[in-house]
Parts: sequence; structure tokens; C-alpha cells
Amino acid sequence: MTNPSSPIADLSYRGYDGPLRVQSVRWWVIALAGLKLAVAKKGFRTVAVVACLPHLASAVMLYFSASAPSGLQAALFSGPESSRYATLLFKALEGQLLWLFVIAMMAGPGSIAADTQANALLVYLSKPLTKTDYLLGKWMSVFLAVYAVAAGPALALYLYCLFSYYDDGFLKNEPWLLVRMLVACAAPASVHASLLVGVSAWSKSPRMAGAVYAGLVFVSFFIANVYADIRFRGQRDQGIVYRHLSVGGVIKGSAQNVYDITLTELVGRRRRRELPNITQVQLPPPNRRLLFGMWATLVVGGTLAARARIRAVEVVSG
Amino acid sequence: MTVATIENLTIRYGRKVAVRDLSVTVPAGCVGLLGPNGAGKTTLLKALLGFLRPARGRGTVLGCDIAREGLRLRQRIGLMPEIDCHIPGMNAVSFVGYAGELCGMPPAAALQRAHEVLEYVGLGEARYRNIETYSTGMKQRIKLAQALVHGPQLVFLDEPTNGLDPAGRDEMLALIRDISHGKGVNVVVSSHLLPDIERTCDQVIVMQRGQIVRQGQVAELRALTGTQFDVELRVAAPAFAAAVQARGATLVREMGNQYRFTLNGNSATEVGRMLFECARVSGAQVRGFRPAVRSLEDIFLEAME
Repeated sequence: MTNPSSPIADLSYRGYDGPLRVQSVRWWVIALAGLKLAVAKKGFRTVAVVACLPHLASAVMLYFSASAPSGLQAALFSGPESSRYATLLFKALEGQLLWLFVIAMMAGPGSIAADTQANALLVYLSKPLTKTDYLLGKWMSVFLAVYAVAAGPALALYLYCLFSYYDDGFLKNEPWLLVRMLVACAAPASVHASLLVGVSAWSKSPRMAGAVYAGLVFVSFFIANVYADIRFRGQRDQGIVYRHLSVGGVIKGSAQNVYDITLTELVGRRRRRELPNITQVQLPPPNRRLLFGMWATLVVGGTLAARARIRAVEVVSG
Repeated sequence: MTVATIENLTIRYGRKVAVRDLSVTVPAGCVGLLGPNGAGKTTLLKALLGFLRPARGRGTVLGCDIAREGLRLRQRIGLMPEIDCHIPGMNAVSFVGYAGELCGMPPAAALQRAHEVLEYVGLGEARYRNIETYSTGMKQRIKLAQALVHGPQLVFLDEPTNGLDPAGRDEMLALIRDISHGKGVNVVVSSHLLPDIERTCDQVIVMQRGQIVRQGQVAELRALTGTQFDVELRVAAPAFAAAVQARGATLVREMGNQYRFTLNGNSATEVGRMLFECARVSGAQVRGFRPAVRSLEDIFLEAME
């Protein structure tokens, strides 16, 4: 047990008699490790920067709108005064939803599937951890990765608005905007984290988990929108609930409900040899109870599916 | 001194009873757990780790109740699993440090301890390499390191020499012997390789069909009743065996040209004189004889009968 070239002089085995922390914080150790592994990927950092662009664009538009004609300002702030910044933040979040999905796909599919593939559950469950510690740690690692990318630029935009428009009644008109923003950013993070740990726990490899989850997101989005378009003949303001019957729809609808805003959208219908007939349609948030019910179903369902799969391990074969 | 006590333990997997009324005391030191496939070693280790809730009976490991204090118990236990296992994407230092943190060590202490343990198991040079690039022998060592990082009082080693070359096997057995003798770490080695158990363990527990069929100090179990001698002839000679038996000896075992006899009350000189006399009478040629020693394999095979 002696190696003269070793930088550690005493290579004999010594016991550890230092402190051992209480059990309650161990999920945080797992969450932090997952987060570190995700952030260590160059692709993750690149996508995180790209995901900030919608908020940056909003800030740039706000900056230039101060000296712009009133018509442009009206176009930018299409909602009522009481929700103009909420609308701005929601649209920025809507603009980054695809990137948040990519972030989730980088952090989530391997969360449990990679452990299963490498038999890491043996390592985890032979330590003083409960299944809940393990699951919570994995869930939080995905949640925090998505939430940080969603909430970071949103908070920066909020602070920019606060310092620039404080005198214009920013806080007075929308006093709960900060809370709404922080809660709305949790919508994509919670749904992606729950569904991804659920899918990951039931997959044999991270690649398989990623493919299944991507399929779930895109297929549900496609079916919900095609069904709503066929049933309501392309009327965007009709069948709003049906348009939100997908993973992405639940995320978007939940965020819109949290911000409590009605969106306006310009819809153009072109007839033969005529100029398009452009109309403005109002898109209110989908039924709140129904949406939050669907959100809770996805979050609880995904988490329970993962919990059902994580079992006490085979310690010895033979 | 004992590290674990199991009393009348019954464990069921659904309707199937895996272990019925098992009672065992695991002594301190290095203990070998032997048994054929399906003997209940897995279930016993699972129970000792606090993974299984007993249908009946009770047990304590290091003073912790296995049914109610699983977390406290696992904080004081280390497990080196049989199969390859690691946390994907980590190098050795991160992995072992992470394992320490999972046991509740502060991050700085876990990192320092990871370096120490990796040096101890002989992975000091490769500590910054990704574990996925490790050879089988290195993976065995890293599993031992993660089991030792938090300074457990009891370590379960499951097939610790699996996949190791002879030199690697010797080093692993030396490590096991080192930690289990004078370092305050109790070790339970589960292995199918009897020579490994023989080289590292002071005590053995032999299991069959969910029951303990033999337990004790290896030295005591290897001790023989009466005086037994192994005799090797040039060629097998039944007449020689008959001549020896005619002089009051008992034939214990016959394998080709090798015989084992029990000779009550005879000194080595008398035995030698008697054996050569029998050889002369039967026309056999004695190549050698020596006092017999029972191997662990003998003990194991006897226990299985």
C-alpha cells in the first residue's frame, strides 16, 4: 500500500470520523450533481444563451419604442394597460418555449435512464437515501435547469422594466407581476421535469427516453391543433381548450392563466383575387380549472410513474 | 462481538417464501458468505441492508433495527455490488466524492476523502479519468472505493474479484484482508470462489435453501477429527486400501491414486511404518503421505450433502 510517487504520503486505510449530515438535504446533493452535469455540456450553455434572445429582443423593442411613434407603441403593447408588461413577459416566454424544450431534452432523458443503464441505482439505494430523496433530486435537477433558463432572462427583463418604467406606474398597474412571472416560469419547468423523469424511469436508455418524450410533445401538439382546426374550421378564437390538449398547450395555457392575460392576434383570410381580410381576434386564457387540472395530472402522473418504476435493487445475483 | 443478529426471519416475495425462520449471528471481522445459487444469500444481504421488510422475525445490524432504521443503518454500511455500476459522466474523484456526499459527508471532506480512498485502492493515477473508460479491474476498485469513502463500520463485498486477472485478484484480496484486519472495518464477502474466502475470511457462513447449514471459524471447520492422512500411490491399488483398512483404519476418500484414511491414535512414525508395510504386502508403490488438511471446498461440499 505504499507508492513512492504518490502525492499522498500515508496510503494506508484510515477510517472517517468527520461529520455526517442529516438525511433531509440529500436530494439536494443529487439535484446539484445533475445540474452540474447538464451545465458542463457546451450545447446546454449555447442553447441557454439562445433561449435568452426573446427577452433580449423584447428589451430592445422597449428601448426603441420610447422614441417611436405612438402607433408602434400601441402595436407593441397590444393589451390593456393593466396587463401590458404581463403580456410582454408572456410573449417572451412563449418565444422561448421551444428552447426550453431543448434544454429539458438535454437535462432530462438521462436523469434516471442513464442511471438504470449504468446500474447506478445500486449506488444510490445502498446509501442512506429514500426513493423519494432520489426521485426529488432527479426531478429538481431537470426542473432547476429549465427554470433557471426561463426565469433568469425573465427576471432581467422585469428589472429592466422596473427601473425604466417605474415612474410610469409599472408597479402600481401590475403589482403582482413579479410573482406571476416566477410562477409562470415554473409551468414549463414542472411539466417537462415530471414527464421526463417519468419517461426516463421507464426507458432503458437516455436516447430512447428522449425519443419517446419528443414524440409525445410533438404528436400531442399536432393532434390537438389539427383536431381543433378541423372541428372549428380554422377559427382561432374557437375551441381554445382543444388547442391546449397537448404537452406544449398545457404549458402555454398554464402560463397564460398565471399572467391572466387575453392575447390579440391578427388573422388574415385571403380570397381569390382579393386582398387578405385581416381581422383581430381575442384569445382568452383557456378554462383555468381545466388547465390546472391537466397540469396537475401531467405533473403528478409523471412523478408517480417514475416512483412506481424505482424499486429496491437486486443486491446480489445468485 | 457480533455485527448483525437475525432472529427467526421470514421474508416473502409475494406468496413465495424466500427465507423461513432464519436465525444467524454475523460475527465481527471478515466473514465469508457461501452458498449455491438460490440459497438465500441475496435475500440475507438485502435484509441486512434494510431493503426488505420481514414478514416475521427481527434483526439488528450494528445496533440498528433492519425493519425500521434502514437509513441510519446504510449510513454505517458500505456495499460493493457484484455488477458494474457507476454514475454516468463522472470521473473517479467526482464519483467517489459524490458517493461520500450521498452518505452525508460535507463536500470538502468528501472530496478529500475521495482522493485518499482512491490512492488506497490503487487508482491514484487514474482518478481524473472518466469511469466509462476504466478496465474491469479498475471498475472493481472504484466500487470498493465508493463503498469505503464514508468510513463504514461494515462493508458487504459481493464477488469482489469478478473479472480480475491473477495479479489484480491478489491485490484485491490483499486490500480486503487489509481493511478487515486491524482497521476497524467488518467485512462480509459473498463469493463463489472458495479460495478467495479461504484467503481473506476468518469465519464462514454456509447457506442452503434459505437456512444456515454451517457456520464457524475457518480454522475450526478445517480441523479434522482423529488423525487423517493423505496417501499418494504411483498407481491406484485397491489391495493397498484393503490392507490399510485391515489394520483398523477407515477409508475416508478415494480419488484415483490418492487415498485419505482416518487412523485413530497412531503417531506419524507408526503410520509411516504401517503404510510401507501395507505397500509391501499389496505390491503398491507409495509416492508420499502427509497429515490431511480439509479445504474450504471440502467443508462446503459436506455442508451441501
